[in-house]
Amino acid sequence: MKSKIFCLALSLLMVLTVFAACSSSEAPAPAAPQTPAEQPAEDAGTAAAEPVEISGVFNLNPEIVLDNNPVVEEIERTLNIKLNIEAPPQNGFWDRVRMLVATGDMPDLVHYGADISAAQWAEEGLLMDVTDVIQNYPNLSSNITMEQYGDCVFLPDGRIYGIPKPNSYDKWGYVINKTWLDNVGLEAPKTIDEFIEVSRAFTNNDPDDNGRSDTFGASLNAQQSSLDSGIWHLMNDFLSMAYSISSWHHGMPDADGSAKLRPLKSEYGEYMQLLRRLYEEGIIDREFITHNADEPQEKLAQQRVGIIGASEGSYITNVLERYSLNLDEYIFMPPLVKSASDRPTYAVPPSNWMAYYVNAHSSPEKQDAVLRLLDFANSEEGFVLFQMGLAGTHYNSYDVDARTVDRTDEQNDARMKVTSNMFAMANALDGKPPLQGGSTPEAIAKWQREAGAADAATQKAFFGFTKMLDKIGVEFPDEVQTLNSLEVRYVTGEVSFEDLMSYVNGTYQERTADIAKEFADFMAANPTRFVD
Amino acid sequence: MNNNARTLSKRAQALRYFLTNKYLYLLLLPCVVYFLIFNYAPMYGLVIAFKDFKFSQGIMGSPWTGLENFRYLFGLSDFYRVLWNSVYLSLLRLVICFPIPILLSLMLNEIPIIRFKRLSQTMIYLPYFISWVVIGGILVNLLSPSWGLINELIKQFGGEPVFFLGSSRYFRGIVLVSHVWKNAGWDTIIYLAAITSINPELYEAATIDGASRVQRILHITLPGIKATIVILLLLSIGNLMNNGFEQIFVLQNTSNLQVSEVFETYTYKLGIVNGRFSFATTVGLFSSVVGFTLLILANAGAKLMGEEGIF
Amino acid sequence: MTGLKKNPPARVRNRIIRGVGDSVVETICTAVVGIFALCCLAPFVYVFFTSFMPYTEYLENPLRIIPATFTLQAYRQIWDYALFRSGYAVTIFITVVGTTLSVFLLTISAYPLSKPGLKGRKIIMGMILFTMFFNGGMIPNYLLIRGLGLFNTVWALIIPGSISAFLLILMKNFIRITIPESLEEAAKVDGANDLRILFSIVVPLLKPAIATMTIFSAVQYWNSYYASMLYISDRKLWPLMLVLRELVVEDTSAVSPVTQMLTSAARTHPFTLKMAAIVITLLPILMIYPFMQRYFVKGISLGSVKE
Repeated sequence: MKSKIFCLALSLLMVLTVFAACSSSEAPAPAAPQTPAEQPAEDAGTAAAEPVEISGVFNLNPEIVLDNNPVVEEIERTLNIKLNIEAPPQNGFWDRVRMLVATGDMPDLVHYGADISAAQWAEEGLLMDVTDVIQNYPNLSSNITMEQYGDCVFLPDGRIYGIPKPNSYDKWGYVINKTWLDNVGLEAPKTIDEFIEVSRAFTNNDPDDNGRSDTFGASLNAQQSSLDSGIWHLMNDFLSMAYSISSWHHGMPDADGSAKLRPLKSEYGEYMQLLRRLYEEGIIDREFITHNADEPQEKLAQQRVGIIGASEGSYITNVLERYSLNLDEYIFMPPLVKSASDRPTYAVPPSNWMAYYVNAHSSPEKQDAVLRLLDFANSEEGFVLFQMGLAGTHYNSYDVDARTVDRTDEQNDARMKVTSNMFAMANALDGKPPLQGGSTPEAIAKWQREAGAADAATQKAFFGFTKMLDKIGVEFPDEVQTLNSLEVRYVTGEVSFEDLMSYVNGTYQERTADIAKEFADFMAANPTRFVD
Repeated sequence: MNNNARTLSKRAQALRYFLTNKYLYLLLLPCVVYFLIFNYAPMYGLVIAFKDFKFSQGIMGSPWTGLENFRYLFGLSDFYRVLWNSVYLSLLRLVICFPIPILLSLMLNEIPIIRFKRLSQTMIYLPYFISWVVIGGILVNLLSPSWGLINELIKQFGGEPVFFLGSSRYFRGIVLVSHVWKNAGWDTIIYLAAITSINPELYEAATIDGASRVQRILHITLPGIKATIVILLLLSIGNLMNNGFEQIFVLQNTSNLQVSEVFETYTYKLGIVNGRFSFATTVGLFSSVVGFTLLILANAGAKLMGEEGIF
Repeated sequence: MTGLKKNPPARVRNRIIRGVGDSVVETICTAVVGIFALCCLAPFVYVFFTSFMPYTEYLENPLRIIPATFTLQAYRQIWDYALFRSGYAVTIFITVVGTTLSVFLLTISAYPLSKPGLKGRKIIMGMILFTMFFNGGMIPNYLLIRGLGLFNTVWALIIPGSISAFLLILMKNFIRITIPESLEEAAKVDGANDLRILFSIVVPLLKPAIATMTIFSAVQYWNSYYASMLYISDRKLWPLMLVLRELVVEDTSAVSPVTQMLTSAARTHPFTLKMAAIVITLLPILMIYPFMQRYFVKGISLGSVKE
């Protein structure tokens, strides 16, 4: 009995010691925001020529070697800064950054998504409000549009809390196997009806001539990881855009021009019925509902399916060259339409690839240095340096206008050890990617021909970011998940169309009414631009 | 007076007990210190479950919200389905997956050819080292309704191909089978080590008495590893709320969400994707309390049945 | 090694009475274990061969086993990768040091805990068990590691995982079932103190248990990556498993929907890299295991007198 008490006392003593130790370890957390206050005095004392030291946490691919990195050194020299880079593993990146912020270890510059965490940091005053300073950095206003900045407008105050990493505009059409088309004697489809006909032929007429019935018309993609997902994926836009539905988000205007949440659009039911019909007849690859990542591309390369969704900008590099496919065997086509008289439409929301945030509590000098760095990355000089490396070492010549490069494989391998498009703080200059088309002159010629023809035939719908849509998932996670699940199970035949639509027009519509109103107001104030 | 003297002598007795066993307590010291520092010192983090977490204010500085997070959790319309999915799947694991390593190690123990025994022992450990992501990829290929090996076989025997991963009907079966495949072999290590600890004289004596193979298994081997089985069983019962994130996440897709959503995946989606940073702790605390309570009850039950239990 | 129990003493062998049922049991056991073992081996063979196969060949027929073209490209690419070699060194260090530390701590802690009469034992057991269910979460742990000065050192990867509550409970159980109390009583009468009893009498008898703990700890350290994700900021201190995980980014949110492939065509597909990574992960364990297995097999063959 007594020894028990003794034991307890011993434990208690230790707990106390440990708590004392841990309370001292928590102390640095609240202290951190105060340090910047002392910083300016220190900085002011130093000579102007002294480089400004800034810290940053970046999402970097592991191939990059940070020690004695010539690209980093070049940047430091040009901007007179000292860049302390922390690059956590990409697989645990989000956790790590959130933890840095939560423990008061937030660096001067944070590379992170424009998501709900960033919104919370903005709300708590951790992120610098850059709205009024952007104009002082010419490239930050010229290379990034206000629509792109919309991605970093998290709060109702309408202020901008980060510098997005601009990406090239992405237009989704489809890639089709030309050899298969010739074998079944059909043309590349333009309308949904033609698409069904071709898919049927690809499924039933043995387009690859191997004597077995092992092919399907098209494969779609599905997302499994986030809340607002299910059957909605960019790769499927070539199909859904015929019904004025885009997977980017709900921003694509309805056929009558009004702004509605996706399931409430006038042709939503019709699109769902199309998917059900394709699935039931078995002329699309049914496994699409379990797809993740690159499976559709792999199936195209495996000669299992003849059609997949693809981006106009990268279908050659990302699909054909990546899987070593014969360029002449595949062609790119714009999105489908319902009737031959309709004009196909590309959904073109502003395109960013995460964003850069400036620590609100860093000293003005450091904040300025961070913004100069981002400004430089968005200039032509910085863009070329980040994307291509050093002239002579990593490439022989680079044509900025045509976006073509002359470099050897060795030079490219050396480049990959010092920089990448993950590291580059701008992935597009004037809306165009660093390289266009493909890696050979033939590929580039093919790209210019096909992408050009598709572009001429298609109108583009430019619409803005609408951050308030994030709230649907946040406030009604279960409703969103239920809808995703109903959609998929309707397509696979487990629930009826009536059940799906009664949920959409009942619970879903009721719950989202307020957000839908707010969303419609926003879209009315920021109308979609249709460009030919 | 009398009372006082008794306390004194009691205190002296305690001191004497401590001194006689001083080495045992000394041996325990590093372990106690370890758990206090690395497990109990950070335990204050649990208060997040009762707070609205603010990045700028840290754990201690964030405002208290009382039971608000729990009210939110229990108020979610999917909560009870997720609870049911988690518990049901765990129960299936307990009933189906738990006994398999025991059977396997008993069988391994009866294999007469030593070389074969060693070889197969090494082979059954292999899957443990393959991550769920890779296993998921292999399963997709194997179970594909159009091109997969399993469905090829089904077609050969005249059956209709089945879309195993595209329906909630097969989800639990796939989880159980892949779990056994990945872990059962590895889990035999513990039982094999326990069997090794059985006094060999018992077997010799039984053999001399003419006990058959089956009798020896039933009367020597099984009782010999019973304590180990009970401990692992108790821990499994304590784990009833947990299913492990990776396996479920890899096999989950929108078509089987109805049965595949368990606490780990639900917490991930609501906590991280939706920015409810206190939520993960809230769910964690809830399932820990339930799990720990179950363990205590099961342990008490085991003791009632004459087993030693865990503590 | 193999000769260990091949020839049991003739004395024992002669006394074994074999029933008909025995060989039936043996056959069934051999067959069942054999089939299960083959099921376990098959995917690994698949992984092994596809790691030597060009990805295009895999795509042509994902169920193909033997590669038509044999290539070491995936392994060469992993080897060329600067972090791979440092990662290997870090992992070997933390595995060797961590396992030694862990087995030592588990043994000395489990011994007093296995004494049923020791006062305070129950409280401590309860305290340990409690930690299997409750933990403070990521942020307090990070602050603790930083406060202890372990941040960005290999010790942050070794010390925090050195006593696993699960293994401690197992070890305690092993001591209970292996060591007869009479043995210790006898030693006590001879005047040996608890330290002497533990190290000169108990530990030698615990070989199978210690071998088990060694395997579990070694595998745990070998496979660990989560702690390094949070507690290490210097890439050169990344352990192998973290490096290999990075070769294939699972988190697709980190990859842009329009990522341009600015990479040369000579690079290996991530799928093949993943397969090669598994082989690399498994090899050391496969090499170490036979040495540990000795302790099981020895014990087992003693335990089931046969042949």
